[in-house]
Amino acid sequence: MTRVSWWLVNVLSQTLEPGERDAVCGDIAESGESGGQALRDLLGLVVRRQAGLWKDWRPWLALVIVPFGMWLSLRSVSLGRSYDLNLWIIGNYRAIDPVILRDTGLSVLNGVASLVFRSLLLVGSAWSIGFVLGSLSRRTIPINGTLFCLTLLVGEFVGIPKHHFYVNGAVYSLTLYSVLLPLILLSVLVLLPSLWGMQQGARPSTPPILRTLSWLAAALTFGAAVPAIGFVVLVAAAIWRRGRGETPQFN
Amino acid sequence: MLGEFEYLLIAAAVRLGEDAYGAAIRQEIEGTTKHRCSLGALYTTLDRLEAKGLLETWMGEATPQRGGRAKRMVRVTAKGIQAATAFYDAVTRVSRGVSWEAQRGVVRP
Repeated sequence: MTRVSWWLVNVLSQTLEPGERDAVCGDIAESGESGGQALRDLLGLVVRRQAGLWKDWRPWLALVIVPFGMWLSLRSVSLGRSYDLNLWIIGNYRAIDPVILRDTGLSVLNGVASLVFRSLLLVGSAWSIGFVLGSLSRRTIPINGTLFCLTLLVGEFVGIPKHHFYVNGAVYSLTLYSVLLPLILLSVLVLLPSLWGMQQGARPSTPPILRTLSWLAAALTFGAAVPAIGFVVLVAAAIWRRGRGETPQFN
Repeated sequence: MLGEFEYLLIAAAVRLGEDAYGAAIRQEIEGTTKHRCSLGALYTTLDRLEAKGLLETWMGEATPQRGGRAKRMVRVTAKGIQAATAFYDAVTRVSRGVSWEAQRGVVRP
């Protein structure tokens, strides 16, 4: 077997329990089969093991949480717009007429304070959702975690300014504001905290007090997210009906 | 009653005795049946039989041939021997009076 095949075998076998991983990799080494055959064999075992884990209710409940990634993404995109504005104000502070700033109520101090607060809130929400996902999924985290990351990307794709935000069209025609900044914010404020949360949630050794606090934070996050998601669904349904020539109804 | 593959696995483990572990059982099954035995089938069946109390498994020693990795050793329990015996008896009884050689000429594929 080539080194690449062994590397793939090692990566794939990470989804197995440590004891079984050792025995299976040892059996593959001893059998002397080709890389392709070994990978096929191992994949068969991994699929059977993963399928067995889905007999439990917890991975299914975790699957319900996966779409919350979309909400986190949209929150990140919305925050990105505030970042754009505040970065622009900071960058052009000397050139802006102070009267405009006073009349519009914009100030660097208030803007930065609001950004820090909203960013921390988003990081906390992402971590909490990741923690719940990790706690419920544990060994099915490769599947649920991948789906969660995909929903983050879908949310980002749906929400990025070049698709829906035309007010500052000139600003969002720049790659920095339309693509790079939203991606950086998504990675730093959502993806990394949620992956960290997943890792903490999947770890059985997490202290009970931290576990309780995390579940409490997650409950608050879901409490905030569910009405927001409901509102987004209602608006989307109204837009869809309008597109079909029907009268929008919100009741 | 045992399934066909479960019986094969128990029989191979009994034949191997003290040397029964994952790779050896797989080799034994493939050698005698001339059919491939996948890792997935082997390990999920081992788990199932262990859950039924028909065999016991534990982690054995590591060898350089296996890259320093441990073996999953297997021992068939008394209950496992009983179940395999029942399966073998059933197959023997149901096959009594049947000549497969004679059937070859009667039944066309």
